[in-house]
Amino acid sequence: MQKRPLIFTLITVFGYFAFLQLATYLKTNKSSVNILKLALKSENVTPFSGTLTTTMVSGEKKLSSQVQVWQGNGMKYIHKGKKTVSVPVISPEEAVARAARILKNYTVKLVEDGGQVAGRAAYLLMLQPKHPGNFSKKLWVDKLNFFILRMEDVNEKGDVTARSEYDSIAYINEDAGQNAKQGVSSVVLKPEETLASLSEKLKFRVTQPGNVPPGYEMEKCHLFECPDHCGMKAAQLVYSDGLNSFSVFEVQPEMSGCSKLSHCYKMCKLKKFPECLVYKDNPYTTVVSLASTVPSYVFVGNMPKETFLAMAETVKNQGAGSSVQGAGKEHEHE
Amino acid sequence: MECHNVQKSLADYDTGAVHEDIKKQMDAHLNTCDTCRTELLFLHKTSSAIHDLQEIETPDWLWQKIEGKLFEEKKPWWQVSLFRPVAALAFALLLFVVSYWKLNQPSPRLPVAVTLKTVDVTENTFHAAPFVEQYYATEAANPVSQNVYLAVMNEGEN
Repeated sequence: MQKRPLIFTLITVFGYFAFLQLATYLKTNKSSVNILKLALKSENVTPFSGTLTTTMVSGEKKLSSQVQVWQGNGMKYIHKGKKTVSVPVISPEEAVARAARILKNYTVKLVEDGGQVAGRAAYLLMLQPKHPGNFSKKLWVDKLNFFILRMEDVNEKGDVTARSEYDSIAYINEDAGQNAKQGVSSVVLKPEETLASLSEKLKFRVTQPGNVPPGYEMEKCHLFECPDHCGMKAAQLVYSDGLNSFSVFEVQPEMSGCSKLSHCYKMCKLKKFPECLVYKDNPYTTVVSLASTVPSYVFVGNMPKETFLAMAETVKNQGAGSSVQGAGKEHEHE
Repeated sequence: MECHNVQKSLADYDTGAVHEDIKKQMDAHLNTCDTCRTELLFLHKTSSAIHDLQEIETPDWLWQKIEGKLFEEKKPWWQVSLFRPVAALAFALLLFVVSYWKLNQPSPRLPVAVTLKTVDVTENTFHAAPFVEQYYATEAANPVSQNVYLAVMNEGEN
């Protein structure tokens, strides 16, 4: 009985420290989640203009490029040489949905002192994948307005595979894009569709392939038409885990307008290849094409080719039977 | 014989357990010393009182109880009554934490047997540009994606 006061003291001390740890964890976790949410919205709410350098690393290969980036009137402009591309900035609703998806698949850790980026004090957010095999990410976020100043993709080995970093940035309240309106090409996506509506439009059953990597879900799908207006249409299924993404294109078997001048000509010729074709657009982006099936499949994304091949494996036996109406025309075309 | 020697042997003297020579010497001293005589008288009364006490039979359990107390091992601190519920609670908490952690562990990505043959090709063989551009465009508004910069990077170099 004489030991009871000692036990009570130990429990009290232990409880106190446990409470402190829990409070610190909750505070840090809440802070990191809040900073992530604010960072995702920052491009929408903060007009800016800056110089950004992107570097890709693959083995010993290194590719680096510098672009001008600015925001104005709800658009983000990216300019290099004679080319300016404008894309709509993320909407607040999209930012919230993206944050939720990221938090589902990644653990977020906040480092209070992320050092200086572009002369500005930054937090460092470290996003570690919950599913092995996925990239992790580091985000350096401006302490003042939560703007993302630097981001790095880190593979499983801990190597940085891509880095985008603002060399200089200014937060301005004017549309810097006014001076570069000429030659601007805007990224315009067709409205979002459903698998059913795409199946109806493309006249074959659009289905999701199997072996989708853990953490990835179909985020949206679009109708994709050949930019050469050759008549080639495809269903684009966009998969994302919040941070990274890849697209699966299910290409309509019928390509009536396919000509030697069109993009699709080579796609048509590929149908005689029973193999999977692997093409690296850059050290970072892999393209895998399976053209011998109906429909044809093209996988594009920042993923290892093995991931795409595992998915292609689930659709390789699809033949004419999987097509609703257009299967027979594939042979007519050839 | 002096007082302190006499008083040491008073108990034996009272019960008649001293040697005859000693007894004679003590008698001689007691005849002359009031203090020792008073002491002898007190000792004698006490002995008589103890002798006159009624003997009570001790219950059987008494010795067992005393023996139990004598040989009882001192309980270590972890056998103190409060320890057990605390330890049980801590163990339950540990079980909960471990189970929660285990359940939230992602399932390992199982290797997929790929039977498809692959051929590495160049852009000349497979004109992937429309698909790649569309892929980059889809990701354009994602503020944590670097794809849009990669797209422009390609544009600038082409």
